[in-house]
Amino acid sequence: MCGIAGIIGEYDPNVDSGRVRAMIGQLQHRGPDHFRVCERESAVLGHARLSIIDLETGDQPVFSRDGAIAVVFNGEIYNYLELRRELLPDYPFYTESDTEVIVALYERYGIDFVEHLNGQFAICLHDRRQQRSYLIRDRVGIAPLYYCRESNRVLFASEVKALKAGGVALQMDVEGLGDYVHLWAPLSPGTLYRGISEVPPGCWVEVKQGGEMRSERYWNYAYRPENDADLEERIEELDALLQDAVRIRLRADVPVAAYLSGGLDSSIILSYLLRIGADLETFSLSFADAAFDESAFQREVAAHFSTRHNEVLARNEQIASGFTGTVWHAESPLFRTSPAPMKLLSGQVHGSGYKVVLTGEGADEVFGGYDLFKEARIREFWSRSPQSRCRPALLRRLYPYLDFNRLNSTAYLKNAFGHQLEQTGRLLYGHAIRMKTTSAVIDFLHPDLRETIRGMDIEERAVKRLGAEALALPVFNRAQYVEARTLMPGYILSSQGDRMLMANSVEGRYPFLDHRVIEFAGRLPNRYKMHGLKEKFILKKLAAGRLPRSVLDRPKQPYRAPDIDALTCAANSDLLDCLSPHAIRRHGVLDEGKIALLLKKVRSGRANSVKDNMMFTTALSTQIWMDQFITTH
Amino acid sequence: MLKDTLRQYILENFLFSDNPSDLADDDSFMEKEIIDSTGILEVIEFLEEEAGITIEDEEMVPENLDSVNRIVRFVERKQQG
Repeated sequence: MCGIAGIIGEYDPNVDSGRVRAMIGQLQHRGPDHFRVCERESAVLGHARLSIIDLETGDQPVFSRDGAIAVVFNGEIYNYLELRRELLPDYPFYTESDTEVIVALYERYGIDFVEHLNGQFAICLHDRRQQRSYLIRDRVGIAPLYYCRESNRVLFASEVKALKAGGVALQMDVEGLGDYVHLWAPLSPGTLYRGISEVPPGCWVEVKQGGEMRSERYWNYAYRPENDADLEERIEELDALLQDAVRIRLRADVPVAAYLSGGLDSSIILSYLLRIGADLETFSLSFADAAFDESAFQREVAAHFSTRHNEVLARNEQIASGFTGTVWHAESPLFRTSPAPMKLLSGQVHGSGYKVVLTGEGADEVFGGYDLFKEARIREFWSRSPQSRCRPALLRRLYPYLDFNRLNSTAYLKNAFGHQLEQTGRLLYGHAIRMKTTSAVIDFLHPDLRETIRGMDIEERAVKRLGAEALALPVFNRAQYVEARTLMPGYILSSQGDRMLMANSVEGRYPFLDHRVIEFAGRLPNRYKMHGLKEKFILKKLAAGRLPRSVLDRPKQPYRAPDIDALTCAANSDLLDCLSPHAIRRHGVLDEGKIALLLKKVRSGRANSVKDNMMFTTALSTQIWMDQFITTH
Repeated sequence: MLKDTLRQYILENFLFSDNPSDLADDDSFMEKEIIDSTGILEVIEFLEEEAGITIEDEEMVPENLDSVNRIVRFVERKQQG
């Protein structure tokens, strides 16, 4: 990955190339190997390069032979060799890079070229001939890309901090915050910043000379189950697809390592790396607190595949001392500290000389791995007989570790999971319980903000942004779709993924998010994804015999990290100053009285619940985020 | 006495409020979303420490625990019994 930034439209050469230089300067962590700012007629394009493919001639921008087309790009085109072979008879390539393939494809197909790409990318393509530019983002939202309008020009950048460095005054967007405190992500193209949009995953934005803009979606998730599909045949097909997805993600002129969580998905990736004959060096996070630690499974898998294994112990002191930096890279408030250890992990990868890691992210969204999908199924089943005492009891099987299972009454289960139980037609039906839990943080917002956000109709906003056609999907696919369009790009792949990787100049690659794999999964019968309440059924069938039995059979463990325990450890005493009455008043986003009582509870040692941890982490990170990004009047 | 301590505890730790009118003694914790299912376990821990009682699994039901008044009556019954 790299960093890109620029200005499209009429610009002032005395001022704006300096602005783009400042913008690119903020993206040094994304691309420490080479910087370039290029002034063209009606565009200034900046690029910070992390050299991975074509180390010699791959600097950007890359131009067409006549110079009319220029491309700066962040990411990788994994099928660039195949595309290059197709184009080569007619196109005189002057580099070995994947970037030039973008130029050549555009020359042949126009903007529809993007459909030929298999990869993760954020592209700015400037076409001097047609007097227009395109901002383009990959199908699922791995590579970030933000933009904003400034009179008749458009500023764009890989991260919002670059726009700020370019002179854009950042204000909090209340609607974006409203989405965020329900869905963990603003509904794209909205962001947490007023007037700043992101290019939605699977979309491009055209900017014409004079500033006229339009956006179009070139790809979306589709769920068209072929219900008579034969399981064995589908397993074979998936096997071939995943192997190829891993194979092309090894394309790099630098060594590639792998993350190992100790769960199913990253272990499957390792099995393909072994089969392909790739070098196997793995990196894992471990925790001193057994509640978060998976190192026993990680070691077992590492031994099974004979990898050179590295463990990074994430200590509370490190989570605390790195938290301000974590928020800086995430560019948003955080409900949990879990991105912080991911930054420690990428630091270790970088320190070991690697620029690229393969990870198992995406398998849960694509193949139905999350408990949320099971919860949606049980709730739908229960909704058909809301008075049943047995049906909600299935939820005890789903969350055996939750303390409230001690409570001897289904009334408590109904209280926890009965919210909007019979409203099965809602787009956000599968997300109702998570939204209810997360939206507890709204109580801690300033009363004015609280009232505005409580008044927002998130369901209506989601239907508008995600598309009403999704309402026709079965509950399970609807929940998959919402997850893939909200939490995955907005948190998993960004706050916990790209931003924490790129903080240490490391690129993540995601074989399960190869669009061929996603489209294959969309054609699977749902029973091959969720079989009864067995998640990722086809993946487990595929992995049988390849992975240790203990890994295949282990219950899914969501990745978490210590929150209050870490953030309040002795190393971090200054950080709590962010929550002083003076600091709260300065930003006017949180409720001073409630925060004082929350702090009192935390200091008394009684703040132990999931909700307390979430509220405290959110409050603290919100204040840090406001300090770092938001211009307060 | 227990009622006052309990009210203060719930106001501060679940409603994060110092306004007594935010909590009526008959408010249902679940219906009014004051305390959720996991929060009830915290209340039970508080009651066991504060009132010196032990609450059995079969007693962990809303009939005993879903409002300030229900808790007070339940604890009184326990202490008398």
